[in-house]
Amino acid sequence: MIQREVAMRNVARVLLASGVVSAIAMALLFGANYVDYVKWTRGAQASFTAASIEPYDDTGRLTMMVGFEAPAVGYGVRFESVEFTLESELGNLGYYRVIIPDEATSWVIDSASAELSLISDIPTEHWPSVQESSHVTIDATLVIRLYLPARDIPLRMGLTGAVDKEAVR
Amino acid sequence: MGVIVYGLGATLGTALACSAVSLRSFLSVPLWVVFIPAVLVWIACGVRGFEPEGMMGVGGISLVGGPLIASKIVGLPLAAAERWAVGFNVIRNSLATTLVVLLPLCLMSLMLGSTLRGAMESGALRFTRR
Repeated sequence: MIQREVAMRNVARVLLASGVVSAIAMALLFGANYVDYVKWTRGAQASFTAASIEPYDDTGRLTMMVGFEAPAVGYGVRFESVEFTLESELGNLGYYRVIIPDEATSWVIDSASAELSLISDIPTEHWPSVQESSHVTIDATLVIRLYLPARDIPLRMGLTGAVDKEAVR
Repeated sequence: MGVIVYGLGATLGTALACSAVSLRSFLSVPLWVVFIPAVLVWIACGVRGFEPEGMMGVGGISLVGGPLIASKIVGLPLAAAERWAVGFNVIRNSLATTLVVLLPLCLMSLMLGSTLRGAMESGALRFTRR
């Protein structure tokens, strides 16, 4: 009888220990993934390195260079699109969306930084206003897809900058 | 004393399960796997042979403590401004998880543990040689 009680207590202790150890192991495993994600969101930043408008056919063409940098934590990143508006003293100069093809991105793998080279045509209805404006600014959102261990999530990063329209004058 | 030790052990398991439900994007294992540690401890509690009050104590400690610990842990790496919002979200998810999944799982595991104990007591299940 006592032997049985001792055996049952031992079984209970083994179950308790295995439950606690597996809980700690799993917490460390997915906790590390979560901390990496927090580190990534804190360190990720994007900015315009250059933006200029040049005449193209009857209208104009906007060329943008976007610099992106994030901590190298091992998560995959894909750039999906840039959504932006052009603003000037004459008002809004249109809403634009550029889908980013993979070949538009040049990656520096070690430091997890990338440079995006993007082009967008300016529609004819906005081209006269763009030509007349003395100062054009761009207000953009870079849409990124971040690949986490269990699923991928879309992230949006804000960007603002001035557009060089020296070639239009 | 035994109730507190087993209760704290189960609290680790429920805290893991509650935080994993909120952070399931970061799991590299299927979601059901994170419920195993808590189940193991509850079965252990049944095998240990506590009085019904003791078992309810273990269940109570783990089902109340787990969500509270999860809300604190998930907010830890975040900035103070975000911590409250994330903590609130985790508490909300954890309450749903506790009521829908953990509470029935706790009762079933305690009963399973007690059944195992009964089987060992009657000699139907043996771990030692006669």
